[in-house]
This record gives sequence, structure tokens and C-alpha cells, in this order.
Amino acid sequence: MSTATADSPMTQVRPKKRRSSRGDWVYRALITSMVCVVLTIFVGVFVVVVTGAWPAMRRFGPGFIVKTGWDPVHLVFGALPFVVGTIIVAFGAMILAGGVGLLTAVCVTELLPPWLQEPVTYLIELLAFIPSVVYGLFGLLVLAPMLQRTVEVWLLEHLGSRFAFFNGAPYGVGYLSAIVILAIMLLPLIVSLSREALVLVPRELKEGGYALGADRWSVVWGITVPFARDGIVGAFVLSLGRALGETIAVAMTIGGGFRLPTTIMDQGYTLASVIANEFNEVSSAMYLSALIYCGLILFVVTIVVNIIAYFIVRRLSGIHGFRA
Amino acid sequence: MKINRIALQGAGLLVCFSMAPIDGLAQSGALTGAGSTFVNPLMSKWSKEYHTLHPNIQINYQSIGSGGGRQQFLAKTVAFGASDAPLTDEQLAQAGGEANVVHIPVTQGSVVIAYNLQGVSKQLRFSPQTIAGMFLGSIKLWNDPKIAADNPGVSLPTKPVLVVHRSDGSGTTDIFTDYLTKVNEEWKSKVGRGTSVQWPVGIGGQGNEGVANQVRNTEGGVGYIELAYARQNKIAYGSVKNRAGNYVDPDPKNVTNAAASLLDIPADLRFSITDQAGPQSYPIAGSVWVLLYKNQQDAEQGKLVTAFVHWAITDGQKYANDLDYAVLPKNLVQKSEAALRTVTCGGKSCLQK
Amino acid sequence: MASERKSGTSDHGPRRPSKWPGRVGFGLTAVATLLSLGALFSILGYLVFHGIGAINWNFLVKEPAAVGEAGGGIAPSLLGTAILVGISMIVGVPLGVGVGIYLSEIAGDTPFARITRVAINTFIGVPSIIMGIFVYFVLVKPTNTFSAVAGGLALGLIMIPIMARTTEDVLRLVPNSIREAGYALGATQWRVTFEIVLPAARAGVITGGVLAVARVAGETAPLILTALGNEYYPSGLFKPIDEITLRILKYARGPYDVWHQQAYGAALILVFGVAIGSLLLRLTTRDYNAPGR
Repeated sequence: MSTATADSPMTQVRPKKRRSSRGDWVYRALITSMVCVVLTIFVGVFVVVVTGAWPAMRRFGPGFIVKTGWDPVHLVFGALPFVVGTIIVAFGAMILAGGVGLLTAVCVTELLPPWLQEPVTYLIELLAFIPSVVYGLFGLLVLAPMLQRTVEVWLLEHLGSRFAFFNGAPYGVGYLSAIVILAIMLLPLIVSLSREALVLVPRELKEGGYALGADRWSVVWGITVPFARDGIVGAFVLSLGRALGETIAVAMTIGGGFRLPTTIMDQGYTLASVIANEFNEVSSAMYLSALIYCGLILFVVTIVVNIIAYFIVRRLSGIHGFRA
Repeated sequence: MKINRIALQGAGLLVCFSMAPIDGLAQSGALTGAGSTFVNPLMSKWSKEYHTLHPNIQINYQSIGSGGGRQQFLAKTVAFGASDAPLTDEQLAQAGGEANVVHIPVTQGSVVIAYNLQGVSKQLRFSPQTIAGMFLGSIKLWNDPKIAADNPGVSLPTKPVLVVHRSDGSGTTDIFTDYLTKVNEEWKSKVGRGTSVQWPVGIGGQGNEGVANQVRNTEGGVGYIELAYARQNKIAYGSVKNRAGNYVDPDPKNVTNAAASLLDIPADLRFSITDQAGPQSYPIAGSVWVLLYKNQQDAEQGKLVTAFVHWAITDGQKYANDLDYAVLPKNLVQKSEAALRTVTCGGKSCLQK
Repeated sequence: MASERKSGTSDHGPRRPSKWPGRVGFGLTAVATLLSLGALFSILGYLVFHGIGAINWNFLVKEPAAVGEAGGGIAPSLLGTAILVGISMIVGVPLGVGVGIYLSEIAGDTPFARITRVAINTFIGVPSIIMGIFVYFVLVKPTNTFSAVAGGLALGLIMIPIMARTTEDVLRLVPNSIREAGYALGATQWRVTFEIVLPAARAGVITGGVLAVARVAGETAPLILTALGNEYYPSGLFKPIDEITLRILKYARGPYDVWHQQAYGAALILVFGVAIGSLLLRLTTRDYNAPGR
């Protein structure tokens, strides 16, 4: 796949340095200064976050990321429960959404008749327009009580005695609810990006498969999906990036706990949701600083994940302008 | 000479006249206060009623928790903070010292032990050790002998006790942990008192609202919330054994009983009314303070806020009982009013008679 | 085709692969699709079922009642949302489009351009609460007040990378031949950009704008730290302001049934508004899709 298109800056016509029009000079200065303002703001964001986190960074050091204990009275803070919580919720949701989403994308591109594909895709993409707080509302008032009465009780009864992982008190809100809600939020992203990747698979390859006598299912799993693998992986990574930063829906469904999780039904926090819930309510300056330290960790992690995602997805930016 | 004296008197009258506030007419403005969820139902009612009386004045109260109220007060992002826990010494120092801050008690209420047990219709009774046991995690089931001992004749289910506490900085937590620290040695050494503590067991809810919601939704749940939240949402709550040995209902009048038992009120009005003596004192009772800076930098705002608080501790008290809060006892009203008068706007007392 | 026969086969030809893996496989995909659609319909269904009862004239024009009492409305939050989105557009659209123009029309292969591109691409993914923290320290604390301006600023900052990215993508799609025609006619660079390229990409830029606005209208976390919320209409731009998602958050978490119903009602209005906008968008911009789709 080529990375440079016919319209990339490298091949754009640039006006020769003739009698430089004053209008052009003003235009370029204006635009460039806008870019400088934006870049300064971005740098400023980083600086402010580091400054805010600094007292906690100095007091707890990098060990903050691997320590437990959250004691606002004695000012002992360790962010490990939130880091673990973030990983559990983000990966759990990504796997759940990835499985369901990929299968859905396959169904839409391979199974549905063309007249049905567009409306179904539109409907699923509608999920992306539902704001985070509405997901939180649904999770808190509908999903969590439902999980509490059905799934969690079932898990506790049937699997709880054998696996400590399922041996938790059914409160409803907790990691399980947060994972399910977040998975629903990630679905549209996975479905639409996977679909775009699947659609790009050249027909000739598929026809070749049929010519060799393969049936439709083998063509899908043997040819189409592997060919679209890069795009699908890109979709997964992007959804992971999205999942890491999701704040409000998680804050409303995860229950709020400061300890390391031992069961899937425990309550906890992710880095983003602990900030949202605690920021206005901190009882000391060090507490605030510890929260912003969490924000800094989140900031760095999402930057790293997004850079990785960007490079994976960039390999697919081609003629169709396929972008994340 | 005579003309000068008349002129002088006339000028003096003019000056006095222009300085007297034309109450209700010229006054307008918007204030933001934030803090305690404990007092939110009453504060919200006050805000609406005051707005009806003075349509040009908006008191925007956001219940973010006492911890948040104190934080925003210290950050000076709000006109007043409301908290069911007074500022700690450390926070007072942050605010510029004791001379810089006034605590004005505005109401009192009870922290109830709310629970969700379908099938138990009789009101449960709790002794101090039972409460401590549940929240320490040593009492795990509802039919534990300790709970049964408090409630003879009541058949309790074999359901797990699911503790719900506050996840945010909370004055209600401060009142509750203050009580537990007084009555239980293990709690005192293990957890202690504070607006935020390290809870041994249980899940966290945001605000009194969140805890109430969670207890409502959780079969076997138990949590500590302000009485208004329990009554308004039909959540069952228990009576608590006080120091005199009686199981007392959290009714507001029993909070007033507790407050009346408080013998000496410190000058800075930072006091606790938990675990008071007296046969009908409810033991888990607390007060709500409005926090104000003594020197109001914005004189207009200072006048508005002191007028509002003055109304709240006088006329506003009539709304308290209906919303399940306790009316301030007379001696406390006097002290609050005196404290309010020490708040200055541009050098003089903000409150004009 | 293999001509050897496995034992046990009949004389009808080589053994065909079983149809069942395919049936099960496609069956699973169908189930997955039904799950996805089911999630959507159950969320919308609950919103409609529980929220429709809350929506009435009072709901839309009145201020909230005292805690737990019925009869109040969410009017300040509706106005507040409009104000906040407006402020965010004032901040986000010019800067975002400007950066997009830079990346598409002006930038060469300089380090500066590459840094800009990386910055935009990474800040698209930064959680919105980080912007809230930034604006809290930069505006809320120094001015000693939560404010509409602070909230709008935070939302605007979130909008910038999104607008920049979509603008750049859309401008890139404009064929070079159009630009060359402009230059051939002697136009200067800025005239080519503003009078030829931008108008050609107008639909895409507007789409990008609408999507960015929809995204920003749903953001709650940064507003918690900047706008705080208000039970009344905002009394000024430097005062706390209510917003529809803040109100939903507050009411959903409370124990009052009245609050829950109003939360559903507000959520219904929000989702409805966004869905209509998305549908209109899809219908009106279908002609402008890139060729080959």
C-alpha cells in the first residue's frame, strides 16, 4: 500500500517565490501563527499537568504507579489499583467489542444484501452518537441492576465456588458493568473500521478462492479477514485508545473502589474516572496533586497508544482516504 | 453658625440615607455555593424560597460533597462553602488562620443507618458495636448473633451485609466516623475519623444521593445517609442505641435533644454533637456549617451571602422540620448571628439591620 | 480435482466439505449483529419509555425545582448547552480549520509540519478530562470562579484536533488540478485556498464541523471541572453554567424517581437531537463521498 497520494503535500504545486504577494505573506503568517497558538496550548497542557502532578511526583516517585493504598487521612497514595482497573476495563471491553464487532462487520459485508447494508451500518453507527453520560445513565439504572439480579448471581452460584475470580458480592456496579457498557460504546468504531477494511479486499482474491472450490465461509475466514487484518488490528488499537480515555460512562458504572480487584464483580476505578469523581472533592492539596499524577500517567499512556495506532492505521491510508 | 449646623445635619442625614441598603429593591445578583450533600435538600429549598422572595437573587448551590465544598472554599472559587465537617486545623491555616474564617451553623440533622432488607418489615435496632462490626467487615451476614441480639423476635435472613460508604470527601462520613471513633476502639485505631477514610469493606457511592441510590438498588445493602434521603426515598433505617442505653429514633427532635446536651460551645463554633448524653439524644447527629471568609473581598457578594445566611438561620428554619432537619436551638441561633455580624464588607459588618 | 476416493464415499463424486462450519459461522455473525442492534434498540427503548413521560412544556422552559420535588424543568441546561457549544465553536473552529489548512495547503516536509501533525494526531486521542484539568488551572483558579467561558474553552480545545484532522482530510481530497488551474490564472496562494479549494471542500468541512459539535456536546468530564453547574439561568459568562449532560449525570446518580425520569427525558432530547443531525448529514452529504466508495 502506498502511503503518498497524488495530493500529498510533497507533490502539491507550490507557488514559486516570485514577487511574493503581500496577501500571501499575511495569509501564511496568520495561519502559521494559528498553528503556533495551538501547539503552544498543547505544550501548555502538558506543562500544566506536570506542574500539578509535581508535588505528588516528588513525594511518591515513579513507584506511585505500582503502589497500592489510598489514604486521604494519612496522605498515602498509590495508583496501582487505578492502573490495573484501566487495563482490565479497557482490554475487557476491547475484547468483547472486538469479538462482537468483527462478527457484525463480517455479517454486514458478507451476509446482508446490499440494500440492507447501508441502513444497518447507519444504525450501528448511531451508537457512536450517543453521549457518554447517556451510556452511564443506562448502565447505572438499567444494566447494573439487571446484571446484579441475573448474571452476577449466576456467576456467583455456578462459578464462584470454583474460581475466586467470580466469587464476588453482587452489587451490580463494578468492573463487569463498566466492561459491558464500554464494549457497547466501542462497537460502532470496531464495526465501521472493520467494515471499511473488509470492503477494501480485492474481489479477485475472493473470486480466486471460490474458483479453488472454497465455500463462502472459508473465503471469509481464509482470505477476506486475513487480508483486512491490518485494518482490523488498527480498529482494535484505536478502540483501545478510546477505551483508555473513556471517563463518564465508566465513572457511573464502575462503583468506586480504591483497592486492587480480586473478582470481576469488584468495584474499582480507572485513571480517568477517579479524576472525574474525586477532583472537586479532594480534601487536601496533596490529594489533588495525586489525582493529577494519575492524569499524567493517563496522558502519557494514551499518547503512546495513539502513536502506535496512528502508525498502524497510516499503512492503510490510500486512494480512498481511509483514515481513523 | 446655625446654617452650617443645619447644613451639617442635613449632609449627615443624606450620607446615612445613601448608606442604608434599600433592601430587596436594588439588591440583585447571583451567588454560587458548593459543598455538603447532607444539607442539599434543605439548601435547595432555601435557595428556591429565597428566590421567590427576592426574584433578582439567585443562590446556586451545587452539592459536590463537604470535601469539595471546603476545597472550593479554600480555592476561593465559590461565595460560600457548606460542610458537615468543620475545617481542620490544617485547612484553617491554609485559609489564612482562624481569624480569617467564620463557621456559621445553619442546621442540624441525623445520619441514619439505612438498609435494604425485603421481608423485614419491623424497624431494626442497632447497637454501636453492631454498626462498627458491619462497617469493619467482622459482621458479614444479616442473621449474625450481634444483630439478632439487638433485635429479639425479628427473623433475619441469611443474606450478606453489603456495605455502602462514601467514595467522595464527605462531612457525613466525618460525622459517622467521629461517632464510631468514640464508641469503638478497633475503629479508632484501624480507621479513624475523617471526611475520607480507608474503608475496610464496602463499595463507594457519590454523595448522599449516590449512597441512597445504591442502598435502594442493593438487596442486603447498608449505608449511612442523612435522614431526609432515607425518608424521601422510602429507604428503611434503624434506631440506634445511645449512651444512656436507649434505642433512639433518628427523628429531628432527638437531634435537638442531642444538641441541647452540648454543654459548652466553643467560640469558633466548631463542635461535635455525636454520642451525646441524654436519654433521648440520637447519637449519630451532626451540624452543617456555612463557611465564610471574615473579610469579604467582594462587598456586593458579601452583602448578598450574609443576608441569605441570616435569612436561613432565622426565617428559613421553618422549612427544616418538613424536610427532616432539626431546627437550630435558640442559643445556637444567637451565636450564629453574632458570628455572621463579624463578617466585614469593606471594613464594616456586611449585615445591616 | 483429486481422483482418489476415500473409503466410504458414495459414487456421487468427491466428498464435499461440510456446510455446517459455514452455517454456524454465519449464524454467529448474525447473532453478533442482532446483539449490536439489540444494544442500540434497548438503549433507545429505555430512553423513550422512561423519558417520554418527563418531556412536557414545563420540562423545557422551567428551572429545576427544589430537590426531590416535581414540576421543575431543565431549561437552564438547554440554554447552557447552546452557550457552551457556541463558545467552543468560536474557539475550536477557526483554530481547527486554520491548522487543517496549514497541514493541507501550506506545510512542507519540515520538522515543524511533522511535529504539528503528530501533535494533532495524538491530541485527538487524549482524554477530555485532561483539557478540563488544564482549563481549571489556567482559568478557573485565577479568576476564582467556575464559568461558562472556562467550560466553552475546554470544549473548544477538544474540538481543535478533530476539526484540524477532518479539515485536512477533506482539503486533501480536492484534486490538485483545481489548484493548478487557479495558479495558472495567476491567483495568489491565499486566494486559491479561500476562493477555490475551501469552497470545493465546503460540504466536507461542514460535515466535520457538525461531527465535532456532536462530539463536544456529549462531553461531560471537562465541564465538571470548569462549568460546575447551575440551578438557574446563567447570570453571566463568568459564572457557573448548567449543561444538559451535567444535569443528566446529577439526576441519574440521585435516589429520587423524579430525577431519574427527568434524566431519561434529558437524555432522550440529547440523543434525538444528535440522531436527527446525523441523519440529515448522511442524507445531504452522500453525493460528496470520495469516488470509488
